[in-house]
Amino acid sequence: MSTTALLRADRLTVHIGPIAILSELSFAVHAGQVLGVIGPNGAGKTTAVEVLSGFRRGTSGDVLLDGRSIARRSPTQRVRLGLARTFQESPCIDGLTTGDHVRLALSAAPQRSAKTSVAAMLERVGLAEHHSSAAASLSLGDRRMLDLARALACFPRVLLLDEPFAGLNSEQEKRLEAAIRSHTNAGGGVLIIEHRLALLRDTTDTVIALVQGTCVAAGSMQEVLDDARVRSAYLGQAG
Amino acid sequence: MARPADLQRAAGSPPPRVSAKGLSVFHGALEAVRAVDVDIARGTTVGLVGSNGSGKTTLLSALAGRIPFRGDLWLDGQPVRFGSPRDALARGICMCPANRGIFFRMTVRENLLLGGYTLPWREAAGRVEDLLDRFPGLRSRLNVVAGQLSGGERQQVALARAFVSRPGVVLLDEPSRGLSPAATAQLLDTVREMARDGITIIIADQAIDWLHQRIDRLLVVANGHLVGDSAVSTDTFEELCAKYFDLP
Amino acid sequence: MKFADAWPRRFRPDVSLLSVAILIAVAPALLGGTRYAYDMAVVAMVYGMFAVSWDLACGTTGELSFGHSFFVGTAGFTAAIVISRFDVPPWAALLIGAGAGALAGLVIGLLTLRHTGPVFTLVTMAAQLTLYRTVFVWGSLFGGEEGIPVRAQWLDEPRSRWFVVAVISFASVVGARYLLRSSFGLRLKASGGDRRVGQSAGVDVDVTRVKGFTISGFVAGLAGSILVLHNAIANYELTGDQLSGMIFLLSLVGGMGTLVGPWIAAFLCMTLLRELLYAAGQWQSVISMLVVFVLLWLMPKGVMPEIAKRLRWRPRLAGSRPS
Repeated sequence: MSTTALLRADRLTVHIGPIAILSELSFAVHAGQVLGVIGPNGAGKTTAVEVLSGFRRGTSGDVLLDGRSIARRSPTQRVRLGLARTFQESPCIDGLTTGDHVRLALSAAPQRSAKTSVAAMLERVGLAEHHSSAAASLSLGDRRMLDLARALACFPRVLLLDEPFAGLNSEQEKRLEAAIRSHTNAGGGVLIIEHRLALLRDTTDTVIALVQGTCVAAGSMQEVLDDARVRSAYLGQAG
Repeated sequence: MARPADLQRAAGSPPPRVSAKGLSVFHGALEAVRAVDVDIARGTTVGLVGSNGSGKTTLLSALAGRIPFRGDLWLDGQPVRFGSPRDALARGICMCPANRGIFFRMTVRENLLLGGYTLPWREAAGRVEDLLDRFPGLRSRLNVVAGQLSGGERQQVALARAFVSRPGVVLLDEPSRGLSPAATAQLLDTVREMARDGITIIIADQAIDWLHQRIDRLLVVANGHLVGDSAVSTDTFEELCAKYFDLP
Repeated sequence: MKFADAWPRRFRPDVSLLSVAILIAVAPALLGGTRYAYDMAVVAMVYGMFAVSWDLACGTTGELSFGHSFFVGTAGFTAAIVISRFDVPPWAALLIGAGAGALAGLVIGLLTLRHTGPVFTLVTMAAQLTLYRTVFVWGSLFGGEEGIPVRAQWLDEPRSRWFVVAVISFASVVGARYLLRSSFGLRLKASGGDRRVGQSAGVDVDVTRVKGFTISGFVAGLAGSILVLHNAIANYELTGDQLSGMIFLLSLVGGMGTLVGPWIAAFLCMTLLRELLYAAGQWQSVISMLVVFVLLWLMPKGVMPEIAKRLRWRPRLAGSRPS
């Protein structure tokens, strides 16, 4: 593991009025690593991803990609620098086909994507047959896979995945796991917010637990789940 | 051949809450649900499992009056035919769909009140009050605009909303999606309490692991057919689930 | 269609472009073959360009501009001013006018960057109204109510003028289609709707939108300058809400996003409909509006998408249309 983290969150803080959604949150994703993020609903997990990807400005704190601060960069710039994300709601553009969404990402990074085709990308996520269908007509699970394909088509170094396993069937789960594996094997990093713990256990090396905007535990999945605060706030178990 | 429901009535026991015979749903030419026959008793919690595209959402949508179906449907022994979700709600069937249908610009309270849209305003407000006892996490967020909630919190609002009109049958489509384990366990306990009040609950989900501990009956759907039913099968839940995973 | 396969995808000829070409070719003859017929056809082809320019910016992003006459007026008056005051030759004036239209597009694009939906529409309306008022207020520059007469020798033979405008108008449709089928066209479509999708795909949504409006302004400006030369006058009608409204409605009727639909709707309105309603005199506009209402009631998505659906025909519309 390299000493410089691929992606580092440095004391991220987000305030809305007096309420702190994120409070001095720090963590790092290294090359080849999958970092899991768990926490109860409303703990600020998605907010953290929003700040990391540039869709939301933090009140204070820094985001570093390869050791360089990107806190002032727009979301588009961050994508070009190698940071891609998926969305919990898997939004899509009305009027564009499934293939179009992937083509959009590929065309924005022509030099990296020269060898890949839209068809190959869609094949990877199991959407090849929906190439010309309206993206808005896809089922939820398929839209999630499209969101993943779009993120992968940015050829990122770091992938931020927000509850990617929700709503997927078992074949799609396998494809997602394969995509994560090949991404990390190639030296990329992944941050994944998830509730489906069994699946997360199989994919991650390290896990952090977010409760009310701060990291209360970090370590392997078992260590984190054994933490008392995590057990009560997240698993709903006393002590 | 007499309907099982008729036989039951003849025997003096109450008719099943929900009874379907030959229920089929067509998407254009495609038969998404094929000739489903099932009787579900009052106060039962039923798990409906199947992979994406198996037809479980379509089946729920048909029962909730969202899409037309062919075949017969009885509620408490009375034949029914729905023209719209409003008809279904008036008959006491309410659904919480997979896309939740939360209004982002309205507050939590307003969203919940909308769950009782067929009721007079005051009655709906009263029922929301009662419901907050069962969903305590929402009480503190009543005046928060739904768009500001996290995904999981919105999920909970949608689920609570399904119970506002105090329906006889509640259909939940993938309720665990996006919820933390604590929230899921809480939801299931709430659901069990509702079932004790006599509400029939049908939960469609893919994640069987948390589901099977808290349901009374398991129905397995594949390719639009009802292929497994723990009420008539000699298999245990585990065996049925294993079979389900091996089905094409 | 094997013939079509021989062409690179973007240039593939198809039925809709063919229809445009046929309409252009037969219109003057069908209208009587007189000088009047050729002049009418010229105006119709200019309006076709207006509609294409609108569809380029609005059919893709889904933002409804009600101020396209801002581009037309800026360009038209610029052309008129450079001809009448600076004796610029007509062809140069056309280009300068088109350039002014592009600049107007750039300005609108920047002004409306953060706006969407009704606010967007209102801002475009405000721009158009501002120019409209300025034309009257700044009489010394814009000629006030009479406008600026334009005396220039420009293709005075009706058939040659018709031919040149036909080439330009057809080229604008083909060019717009080429543009929309390119990756820029895809990015333009991604700039409407949920911005996050475009941004998270690495598309600079803001820059794309501004570029789209600049190009749209160029096309509208070119058309507006042609109209000024053709009518030999630039007046307040160029910047009026009637023009904006017409362009808007005709594009809706034709089918937003199809490019050819709006062109044909505008062309038919300015030829066929005008001829048919000639006898109606004062009632022309009322009947035209009724026709528009009826068409939109029957075919809310526009005529061209409806025809395509009926024929179960999947034309290669702007971008790649879903099946």
